[in-house]
Amino acid sequence: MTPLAVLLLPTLAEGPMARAELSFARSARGDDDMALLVEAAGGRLSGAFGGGGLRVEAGCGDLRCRIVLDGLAARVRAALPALVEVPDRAAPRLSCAQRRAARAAWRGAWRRPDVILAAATRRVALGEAAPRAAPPRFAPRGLAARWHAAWARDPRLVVAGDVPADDPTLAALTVAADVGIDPADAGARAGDGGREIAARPAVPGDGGLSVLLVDWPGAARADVALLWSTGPAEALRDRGLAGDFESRLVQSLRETTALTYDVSFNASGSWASASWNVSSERAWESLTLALAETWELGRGANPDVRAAAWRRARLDHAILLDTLPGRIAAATLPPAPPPPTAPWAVPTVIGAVVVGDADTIAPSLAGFPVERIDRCLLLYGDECPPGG
Amino acid sequence: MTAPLTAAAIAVVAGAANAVDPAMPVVLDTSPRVALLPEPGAGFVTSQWLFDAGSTTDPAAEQGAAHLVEHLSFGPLDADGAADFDARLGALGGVSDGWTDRERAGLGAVVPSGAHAAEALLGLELQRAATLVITEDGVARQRAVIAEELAEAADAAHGPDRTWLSRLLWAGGEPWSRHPQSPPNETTTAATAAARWRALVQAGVLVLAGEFDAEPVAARLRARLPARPPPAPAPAPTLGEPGCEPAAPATRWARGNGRRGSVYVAWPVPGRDHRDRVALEALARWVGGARIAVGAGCGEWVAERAGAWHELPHHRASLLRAIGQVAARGLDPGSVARVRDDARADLARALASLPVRARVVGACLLGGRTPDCIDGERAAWDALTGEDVGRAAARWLPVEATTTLAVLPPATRFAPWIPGIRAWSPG
Repeated sequence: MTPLAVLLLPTLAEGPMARAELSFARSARGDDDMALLVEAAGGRLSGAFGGGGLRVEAGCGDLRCRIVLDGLAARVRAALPALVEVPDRAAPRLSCAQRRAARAAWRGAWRRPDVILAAATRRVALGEAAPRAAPPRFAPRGLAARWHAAWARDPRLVVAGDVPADDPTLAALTVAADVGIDPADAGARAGDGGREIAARPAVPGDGGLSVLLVDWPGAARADVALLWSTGPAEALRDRGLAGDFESRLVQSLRETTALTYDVSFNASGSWASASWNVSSERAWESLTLALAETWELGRGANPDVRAAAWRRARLDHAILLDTLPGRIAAATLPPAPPPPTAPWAVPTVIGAVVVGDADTIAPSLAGFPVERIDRCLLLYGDECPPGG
Repeated sequence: MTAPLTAAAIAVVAGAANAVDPAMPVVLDTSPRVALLPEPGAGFVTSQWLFDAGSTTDPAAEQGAAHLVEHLSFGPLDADGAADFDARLGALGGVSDGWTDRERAGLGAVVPSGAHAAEALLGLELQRAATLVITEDGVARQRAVIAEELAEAADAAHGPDRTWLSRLLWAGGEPWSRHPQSPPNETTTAATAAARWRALVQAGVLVLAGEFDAEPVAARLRARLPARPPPAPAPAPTLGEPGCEPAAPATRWARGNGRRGSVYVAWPVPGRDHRDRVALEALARWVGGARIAVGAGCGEWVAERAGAWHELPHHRASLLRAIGQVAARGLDPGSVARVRDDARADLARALASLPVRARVVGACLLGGRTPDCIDGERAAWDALTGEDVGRAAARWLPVEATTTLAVLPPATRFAPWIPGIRAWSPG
């Protein structure tokens, strides 16, 4: 039996509910097809046990791939033996429909702004080009070997809710591997395997900040992203910049100038990004405003602002503990940051991404060194199919 | 962390004379009405406003006003331009949110627990209720923000589909076809928005939940807020009446912006107080990929299937066949048990989150019910039978009353092979 690190969270008063998460750590990258296998394994469980008060969720996030049982505790306990057997069973076989769907998703990525933006930000942050001219092939033999290798990467079972510690399945696991998880250590892994990235100085007009302009001909709106280097110690500063409604970017881009509706923030180990959606004509304006806010962050954050950001970070933790999924997440996240004592350092900007109609946007970006690339060249290393 | 919400655990206290049991949630009949849900160890305190205001309740000349006022309610709290509501909340370490749907709107705020967290949050909320400042500049800015919000949504694949479906389903396009986040009209001014805010607050419900002691908070509120008798709930139009009037059944196809096609099969159905509502929800759960959206008087039952243009007729036919069989024979006991357990689990998941539970209590009160109305929901699911589901399907979802909308990728040239289907340009 694959040794699992088991964490049983104390029962509070969840009533009839329970949740069990079986997970492994993702490799640095290149295991996108593992997500398909995890979904297929989840589908297999769902077919056998799903419905009637039990939901099976399966998929991969940035750091881990998970198969989750969530629902009435009796149903979760009934499905638990099958869940813990997943790592030892043969790799799930992808059906023809699943393979077709995966290939269709690959082929249709050039029409999905979120996929294009993600590929572009990774290219800027990590220098990751990796266009694939051919669709994914899913060689079954290779996949099966990689499936078992994946489950060897820090496999965990976390159970929360109305499941007693002497549940037979859990008891057997504890005998197999009484290892537990140290929550303080659990979240320390960086999203990119701890790889350092080259941080570049960012001053517009002097060639420091580079903009990757991804051309989507005819698009009326643009997605803009700003990337900067960061680390666990900078979590509060990042929150002050883009991590919540009170952050500088949201206040500036939404409340003051009404350029956008929302700013999304994503921290991925050694780098972070903020992205927003604007009309193409105002992409440049929003980018320069965001840069200004980034540079002002260190000067503008007085102790009260920093302390409020810290309180909001602690509030996030308290809200997490309010639900079963949140409690599991909180148990494996890094501890809440300490109260801030020093002023925030100005983030080192890595670069920016603009996805939109290049002919509309490019002239306004003349002050920046711009690398222009077609969306299909970015995704596939080839031209877009006709009919877009 | 969460306690079960039962009728026994909720006391409705109608006057200052009643003693407050700290273990019991309390409802104060003040103006505005306030409900207190203390929960020791929660780690935070949340306030949730609920208002009887949504896209269907906007006056015809002021469509989008409810959504606009929701945006404006995070603005400055006095005329000297000092920090706005969100900035003050942020300084407490709090965060906020707001939402508007077809018939209701709500505002939420959460702060970390502390010695005076509940008093500080409640003070901020009452200050917002009394002194929110709405300026023409603020109205213009939030109009622009909402325009961005709608542009972003319209840009997403299948963004407009549901609005199109509602336009087909409801007569004259009113009022159910209005998108919950309708574009704000140009008629609403700062003065009318402010008047609307004051009316909303007076008729609204504020729920305070989390880690605090109810007794001193309740005492302070009784001293500060005027008492008022509970307002008589306005009668909602029922299905078929003006304001809730279905259009003739239609079968249409249109070009959308999605990569794949979708077919929507829909019926207008009665509202949430109707005795068939749970049976119709059970049928939606059983069919899968279906949803029921109900308001006070009427609602929609919609099933959605995705696929290429040539697959959509099969999806539609199999849906209609399945619903027809349930209408003829009812739902088998095993299926009823499964959907009942799914509903129970979903209810438990929702109520496990304290802010959501606070919102549910507020919705119960706003609908003129007692805060334990969720118990009635549980009882309705317990009493549900397969015959109930069959009867509801036969009564409300007959094949001849189906409205079908197929939305296909932009370059599509062929209509799906569905009898009587016609091309449609929703514009």
